Amino acid sequence: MNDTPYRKWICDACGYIYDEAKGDPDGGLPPGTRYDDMPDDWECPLCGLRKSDLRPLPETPIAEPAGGPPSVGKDRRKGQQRRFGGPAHLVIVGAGIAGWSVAEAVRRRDPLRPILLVSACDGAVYAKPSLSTSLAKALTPADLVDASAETRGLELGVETLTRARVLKIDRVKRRLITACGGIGYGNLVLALGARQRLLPVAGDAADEVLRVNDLRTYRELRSRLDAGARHVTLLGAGLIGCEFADDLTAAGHRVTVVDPADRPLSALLPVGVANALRDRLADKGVDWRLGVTLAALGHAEDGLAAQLSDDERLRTDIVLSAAGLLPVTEPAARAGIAINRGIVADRDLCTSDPVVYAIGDCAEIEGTCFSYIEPIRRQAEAIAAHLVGEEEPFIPLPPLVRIKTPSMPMTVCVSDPRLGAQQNWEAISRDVKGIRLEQRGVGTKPNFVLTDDYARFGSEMYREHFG
Amino acid sequence: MSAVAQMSPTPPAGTLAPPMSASPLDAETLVSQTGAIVDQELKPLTARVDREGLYPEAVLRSLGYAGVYRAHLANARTDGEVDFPAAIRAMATVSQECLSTGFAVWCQDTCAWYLEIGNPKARELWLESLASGTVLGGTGMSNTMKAFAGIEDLRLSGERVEGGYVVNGSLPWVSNLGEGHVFGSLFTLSGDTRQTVMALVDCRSPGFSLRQSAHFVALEGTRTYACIFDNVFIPDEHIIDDNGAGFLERARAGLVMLQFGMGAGNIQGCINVCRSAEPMLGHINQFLDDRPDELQEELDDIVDAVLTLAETPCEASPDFFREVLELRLAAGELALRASQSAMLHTGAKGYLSSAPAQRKLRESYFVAIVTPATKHLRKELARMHEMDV
Ligand SMILES: Cc1cc2nc3c(=O)[nH]c(=O)nc-3n(C[C@H](O)[C@H](O)[C@H](O)COP(=O)(O)OP(=O)(O)OC[C@H]3O[C@@H](n4cnc5c(N)ncnc54)[C@H](O)[C@@H]3O)c2cc1C
Ligand SMILES: Cc1cc2nc3c(=O)[nH]c(=O)nc-3n(C[C@H](O)[C@H](O)[C@H](O)COP(=O)(O)OP(=O)(O)OC[C@H]3O[C@@H](n4cnc5c(N)ncnc54)[C@H](O)[C@@H]3O)c2cc1C
Repeated sequence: MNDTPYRKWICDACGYIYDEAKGDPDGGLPPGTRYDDMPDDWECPLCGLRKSDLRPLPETPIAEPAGGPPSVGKDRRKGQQRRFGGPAHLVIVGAGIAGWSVAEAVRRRDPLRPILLVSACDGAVYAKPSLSTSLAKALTPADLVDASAETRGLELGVETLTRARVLKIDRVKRRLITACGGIGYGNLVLALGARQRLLPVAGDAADEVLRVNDLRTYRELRSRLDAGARHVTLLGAGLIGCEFADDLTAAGHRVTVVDPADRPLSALLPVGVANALRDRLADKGVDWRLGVTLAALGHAEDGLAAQLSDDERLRTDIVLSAAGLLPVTEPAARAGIAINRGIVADRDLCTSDPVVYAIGDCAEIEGTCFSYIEPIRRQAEAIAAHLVGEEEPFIPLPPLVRIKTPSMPMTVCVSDPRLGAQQNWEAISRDVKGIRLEQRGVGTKPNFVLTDDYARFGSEMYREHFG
Repeated sequence: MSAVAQMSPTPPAGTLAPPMSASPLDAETLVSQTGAIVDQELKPLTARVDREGLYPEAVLRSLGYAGVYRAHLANARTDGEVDFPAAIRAMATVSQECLSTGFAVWCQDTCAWYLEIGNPKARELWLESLASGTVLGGTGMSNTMKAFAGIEDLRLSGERVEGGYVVNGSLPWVSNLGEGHVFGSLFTLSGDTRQTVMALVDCRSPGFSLRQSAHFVALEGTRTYACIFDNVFIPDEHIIDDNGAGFLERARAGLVMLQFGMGAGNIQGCINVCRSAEPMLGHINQFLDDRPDELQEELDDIVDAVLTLAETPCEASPDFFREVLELRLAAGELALRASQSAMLHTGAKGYLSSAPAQRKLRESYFVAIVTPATKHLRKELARMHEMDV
């Protein structure tokens, strides 16, 4: 007689418990049938699996993770609300400088109107231009954040719905569709920003090309740099590319810049100034590969293997693309709102749908997409005014471009961008304090290029003209 | 009860649809043809499918003949297009009437989807038969998805032999199976459990057996069995992908998106039940929560979002998959609310054992528990959220 205590077994798949004391009378096993005495062709009465799928029932239940499931998951996921906004709401899509500026401007003029700000990202308030200048200043991505969406929302009396990408705009129902639920609107502001152009690159590591355009992608860059990446290949010697090149070298990384043009900032700067910038950055260690593009990117032994269009090969750790910004226009385009390069808007920032506005990098006004900060606050004021029935239209002005390369800071104002690279610049000064070029006789607007110490007079000269 | 249930020889193809061969229907026509098959062939059987566990094989063949299973398969369409929204809408039309049949359609669609995105050899051998519904198939991937989410261990393991693999183990609950059916599943390599292989299993293989034991409260007509692998040889031509993990990453968004056909259909069915009670009971039903118009608005929001995402089923970004899961969770939760509401709106009439309301109530739980289940989804979404912050 076997007097070891009866044991219990559990079916791996369905949780059926076989208790030796009780047996499985329906399955032909009388009470007291030990596991060892069960026939091999026994079938689990619940799911049909076999004796071999039984395992000893653990004495103690499987422990829950300490503190239960992660609290974010618990709070956010259970019985979540899935309907937002309503016909009285102003809904702002986008939590960049443009989105937040509209929220502030409208709140100032209208303390009561319900406002909901929706964004695909986490909605944190941060200065986007700092993305390309933070390494040298030893700022972490967290340092760049002014406030979380929740905090800023509470301050302004604005509801926020973050990590909610707008997939579709239903203009008939005045409703936005997201994976988090539907959002009704009375008025809509599209502040969708711009994205980095995706370059066609061949090779099995083409997916590894980073496009830094928000805090999340910036965190990814920083974590790869922190993980020991040494060599960075930058695609594009435009404004953002040059700023990153200077910042990365200052922080001790090795940098190669690839651009199909024969000099940096070729569309904006006069040849001589562009060449000076190239030399200045070369002195800091930047390896220029001009007149070529990245043809293919493959995985290599430790890191990546880049192949340039002239067949030159180089080993690199990170490839960062900064090849120009494209306004984000979907989902407006899908909804039949007029699109050109950006979302077409008039001086009141109204799109072809009169209850929908567009602002910031995604908007196109009188044929121009402004991809810089200065116009955004004025655009936000124009929207806020228009919403309360006042007239304060946005006046487009030529851009004042600051190139934040500490190795050679510059301020540039060219009223017609096509003039930038032309020859007829007049050198006002060219000395130890830097270069000062002006272009006269091309209308009444100022055109100037200021470098180094002269750069800081840019705002003053600009204000003289535009107030 | 054991073994493979009543097998019928392949019946003549559907009587309604014109011969479609491989040329695809536009979405509207496909959905309306599906509606006609549902009305004429499925409706008379729904109660028996639910209560007697009748497997609606003839209906499934008719749907195949009408082209329902090929909408989302570029390689099975003459125009090479991929129309996930059409596949989802057709499945919803079926599920609105009967979720057992809707689920069988999902099994078929998903099995074919594996072949669509897998090795060309297996695709050549099987895709057309599945797309046309001449071969019926299923998917034994619940265990796989839960294993990759860290919920349980993989249950099948295979050993490399000349010309293929020998697989052992067992899977509980795999649906839409029978003799002559096939299904997609994934096994680990014995010796190297990190390496997994995705394969098509033929139910006729020696050493393979199906067992049916318990009965379910709904979804009985789905031929759901336990699968036992006793040294089952799987030839190389049936390997869908040698890199199982990579395959699952490519397949998962499509697999989960197709499930919205089940969820949306069940929810719409519940809303319709609520509405049907309105003329007589509206004056008193207005005191209930979750009124049909509110449910409809939430359903429309989900469907709109899903059909938009479904335009890019191969999008691989984690954000995209998070959106799919977020919506999948919402569909499961809304199904439970909608069926609850259908019961309350119909009252005692819905409580009759012949009433659609109580059937839809039982069916709706399946939307919430079929992998990825509500708890699994919440776990995965919480994990994604943690990683983000
Ligand atoms: C590295 C770098 C340096 C720069 N330096 C300067 C500078 O020195 N001076 C200057 O003036 N400008 C500079 N700029 C440009 C300037 O930062 C931008 O013009 C400005 O930040 C744009 O703001 P925005 O709000 O329009 O767009 P973004 O900041 O891009 O915000 C877009 C928002 O829209 C959201 N969104 C997009 N699509 C959807 C959707 N479908 N659903 C929901 N939400 C969506 C995003 O999540 C985000 O919240 C720089 C830009 C970069 C990248
Ligand atoms: C009618 C029907 C048809 C189905 N058809 C299919 C199909 O065609 N294909 C398919 O792949 N799946 C199918 N399934 C399975 C389904 O998708 C789910 O996976 C299944 O219902 C189990 O999921 P769950 O969330 O309930 O897991 P749970 O069982 O709740 O938990 C997850 C896992 O935890 C483990 N576990 C449970 N209890 C214990 C314990 N006490 N100790 C240790 N471990 C434990 C088990 O391994 C279990 O699988 C079907 C299910 C049904 C009901």
